[in-house]
Amino acid sequence: MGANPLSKEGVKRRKEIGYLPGELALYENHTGVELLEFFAESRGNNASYRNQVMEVLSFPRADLKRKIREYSRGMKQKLGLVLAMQHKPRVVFMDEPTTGLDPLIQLEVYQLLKDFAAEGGTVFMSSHNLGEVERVCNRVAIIRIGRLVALEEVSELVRRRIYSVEFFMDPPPGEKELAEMGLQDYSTREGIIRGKIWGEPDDFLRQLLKRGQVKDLNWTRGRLEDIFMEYYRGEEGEQ
Amino acid sequence: MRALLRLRMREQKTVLLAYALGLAVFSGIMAWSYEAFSEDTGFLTQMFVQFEDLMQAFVGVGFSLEDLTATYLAMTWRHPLILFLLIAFGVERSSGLARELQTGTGDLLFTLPYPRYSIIFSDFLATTRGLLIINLLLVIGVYLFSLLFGVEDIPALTGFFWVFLLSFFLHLMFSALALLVATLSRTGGQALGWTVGIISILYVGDFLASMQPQLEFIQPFTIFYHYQVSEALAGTLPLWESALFLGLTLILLGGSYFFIQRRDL
Repeated sequence: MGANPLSKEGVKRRKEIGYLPGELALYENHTGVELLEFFAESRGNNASYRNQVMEVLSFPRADLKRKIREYSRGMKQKLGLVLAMQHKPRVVFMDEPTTGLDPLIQLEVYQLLKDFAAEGGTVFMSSHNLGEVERVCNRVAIIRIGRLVALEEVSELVRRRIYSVEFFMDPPPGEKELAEMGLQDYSTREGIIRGKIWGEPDDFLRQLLKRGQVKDLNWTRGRLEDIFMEYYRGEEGEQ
Repeated sequence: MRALLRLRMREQKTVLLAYALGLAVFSGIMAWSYEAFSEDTGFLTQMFVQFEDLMQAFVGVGFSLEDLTATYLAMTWRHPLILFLLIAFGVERSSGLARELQTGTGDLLFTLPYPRYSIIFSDFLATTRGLLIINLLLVIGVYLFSLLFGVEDIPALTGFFWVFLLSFFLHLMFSALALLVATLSRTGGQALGWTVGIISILYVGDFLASMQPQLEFIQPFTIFYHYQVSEALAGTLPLWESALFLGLTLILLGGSYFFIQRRDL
């Protein structure tokens, strides 16, 4: 934020930030509304964005009167999101913002963050969910042992996407064919071939169908962690 | 800062209520049990004379047998249970900072536009208010129950006021100690453990020094030695003792300010 965090200016500028920690620890003996009011008052009685965020999260107003200790994990996460954004900060820091939320609300949160960014706000979020990162972020930073090792556009990250593939085909392809299809790190057991493919899967699928009858096919999109691991391996190799 | 202070005070609400009830009951018991001795004040005097060292450890140095009621009622403040309860209140609240840092609540607090020192001093101010209330309740309780149970030769109101001041300042000092330890600790347990450990050593030191003449030289350093409740209740203004407790409180608060500003969070 351009100021020493301990200086007067640094303290003042904290009004312009919002924060959602990964492990949200709230004051359990307070009610939701007490906490919201405390955070708003601390930031100069600013809660201009509260209603909008609460609506997006389908946060029942009646629950605000309940003590935090009675909240479920998802409710606490929702309250944490409202606390982080109710004052419409310039910058918001979020650690795994959709943890504990149901899939429908997760989609709403992605849209909320996109709208927030479109209106000029900046969202810093950390996540292990590639889908989430893809949906919300423009740029991705990879931090390893406290050091920034990469800062990339999301489109670049998507290009590096990994899929874990598992298939059974008749006749079984040879090693040369598997390599031609772009399958990497593969292994075969009882006729089932397991391996990884990089980038978009179209080419691999076309070649697979061309080479024989696919009896069974299963694939999962790699987690961000897998991509990071591949990325690190690459870095180590280069070094 | 006002919002922060209100948050801290709200946290204490339930604990304060429990303390109010507990102290009312205890002060009632102390005043009521005096009746048992009042029929035979000779027995009470004999107890103080025969077990002078032990009684000194319980009621503090400087008790006077001429003010038997004051000496007896002083046991309320020097009673290990009451000492423990009053110390626990201040220490537990002041260690809250270390707990907040451990659980992650501190992460949230430190993103709010408050200087670090206001976060810890709001804790201390709220604890001060709590200590003020419970010390006042204890004094009022003992006085009113003494009237109710017809205790003879009840000390003058000024005596009760001096005791209130002395007790309040002592526990304020322990809260400041807890705050200092909390600014240096990583976990709530660590903060609480160290503070309770230090205070226990001081208490045991005072107790042993009262019983063992060869340890008398350490007594002035044990803090509890200066907690001369019976003298104060008998009407002596505890000026030096109050100044000592307040001075130490200010030094400990200064230390807390110094360390929290420099701590890597």
